[in-house]
Amino acid sequence: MQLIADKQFLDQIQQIRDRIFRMSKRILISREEAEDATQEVILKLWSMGKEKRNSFENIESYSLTMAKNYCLDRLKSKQAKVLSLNEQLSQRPSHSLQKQVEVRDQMRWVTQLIDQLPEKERMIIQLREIEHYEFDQIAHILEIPEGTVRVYLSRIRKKLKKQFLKIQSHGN
Amino acid sequence: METETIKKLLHKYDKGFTTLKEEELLRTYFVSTKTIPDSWLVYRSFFGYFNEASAIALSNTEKKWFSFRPWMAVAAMLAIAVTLYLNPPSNSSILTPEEQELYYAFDQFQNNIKRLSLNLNKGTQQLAYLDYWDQTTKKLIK
Repeated sequence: MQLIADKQFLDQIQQIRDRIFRMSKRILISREEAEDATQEVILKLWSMGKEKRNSFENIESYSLTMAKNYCLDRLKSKQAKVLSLNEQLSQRPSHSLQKQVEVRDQMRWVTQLIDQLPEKERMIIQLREIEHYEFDQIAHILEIPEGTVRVYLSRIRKKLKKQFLKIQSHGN
Repeated sequence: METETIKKLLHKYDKGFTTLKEEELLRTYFVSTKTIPDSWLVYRSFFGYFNEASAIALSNTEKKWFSFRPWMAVAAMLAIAVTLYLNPPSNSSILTPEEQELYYAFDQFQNNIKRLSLNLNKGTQQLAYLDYWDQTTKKLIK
């Protein structure tokens, strides 16, 4: 393991660390856990050495796969589950008459709805709607067939819409 | 005309058939258009959310490299206890001959200074007495 940071690695990381972080946060939900996960993934990338890193066809999707695997492992541990539950509880929607706050509330509903999806669906939403990856890239990162990604995405979009309208009719 | 295009795109979107470019069009539309049909409000919420979520960055809340955790207090106490146990503080610490000589010299010096200041004070007392004597004699002579 080299101890002196080479500029190339830092540049590579600079561009993808936010994506790693957002992906981790989507899976783990807790911000603190996601920060730890991001550090862990970057450390792993760093310690594998320059040659191995450069041998990857696409380091960006490779590191997102690493983040996915690391976070899913973390999620299995009891501690992570408790943390994410606590965070969800603190994000309950509250009602307000002001228009601006209403928009905020709706955003929070969306957050809550997505947080309640199974991990796989959360990851697909993250990669498509937020990171804007093509279907083949998403399939590559998540290590699932491309067709599955398409089917899932359509299903999730419909489900989220339905659930959102349900909350809205209850809230108003 | 634009609403018609959006309507078609939304239909495709729900089925998962839109391309990234088309999804970008939708995003731009919902983020920038103020008045939209009520039935599309749900999409605005979602695209608005996606838009915000893509801006979340690690650097916004740079991880603190040091944050105090309760276990650190315990660790610190333990470290002090172990240190004290291993090297108990003592007055009869081991000194080299030079150091002993130095301490002796310092003691001597301190004693001498003390004696000197005592004598000096004695001197001032005598002087005060002399002053008093002087004043009384002056009064008597007058």
